[in-house]
Amino acid sequence: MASAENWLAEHGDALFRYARMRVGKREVAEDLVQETFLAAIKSREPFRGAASVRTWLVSILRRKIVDHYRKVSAARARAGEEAASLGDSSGWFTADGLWQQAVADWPTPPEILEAREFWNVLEGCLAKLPRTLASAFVLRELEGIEASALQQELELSPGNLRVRMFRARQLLRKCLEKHWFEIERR
Amino acid sequence: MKILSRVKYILTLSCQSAAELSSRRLDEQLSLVDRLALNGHLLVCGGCRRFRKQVAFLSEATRHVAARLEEAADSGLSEEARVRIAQTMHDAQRES
Repeated sequence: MASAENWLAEHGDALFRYARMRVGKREVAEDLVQETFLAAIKSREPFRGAASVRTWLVSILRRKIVDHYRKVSAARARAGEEAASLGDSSGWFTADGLWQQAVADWPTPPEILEAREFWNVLEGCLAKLPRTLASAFVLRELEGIEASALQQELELSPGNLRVRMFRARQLLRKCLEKHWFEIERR
Repeated sequence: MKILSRVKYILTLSCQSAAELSSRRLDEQLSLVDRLALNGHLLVCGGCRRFRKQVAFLSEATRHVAARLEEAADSGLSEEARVRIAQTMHDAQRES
């Protein structure tokens, strides 16, 4: 395990950036990176050169991120905070199911995806999501976990996962409108 | 009666249901009835068409930005964290 000394210098920052986008908080991301290195050192199945060291470490980190969100999800459910932490959606639609506020048009030229400022705004919006919503959205969109597998990981009913995904998307939409598209509401 | 209620569902989908289906569609396969209802609604509702476009953009943008931020070498572990992690790794290696 002589190469372990170099892991931190060679892969620490990359692992940190990977985790940071997914968990939102610097401290949480740093803890997950540490846990990843410890798990790698203790691993009974050390890296054997089948893939790159980076790939191996990222795969451990991904597992740590899923575990992190599973704990968040379970803790909220135990504390009975589920309903409150999902956010209030009553303001989005009228009683008849019509949009409360007209859906504004977004100008989305492809260039904005390459604008550093846009990256920061989106990252900020993700970090601001209630963690129970982020758990579903991040694991689905960034880790690419299928909905059926995600229900099992987070111990959610199909309906509950759909609600989380929908509310996460609604809140991200609102956040981008406010901080990027600058569409002002009354 | 069952058929009639499906037809009614397809013809009278609300914006709220259409928005929920637009989100669901990104995560799972919709049933034929849901697809018909959603597509019919989108045909006549500009707001829901914009919503559908926006949630699809969110998915694409999130993945794209995550990949770009991972490549960007301008942020990383704080010095404090680096020292702490190095120490913890050192201890763990001595134990094992």
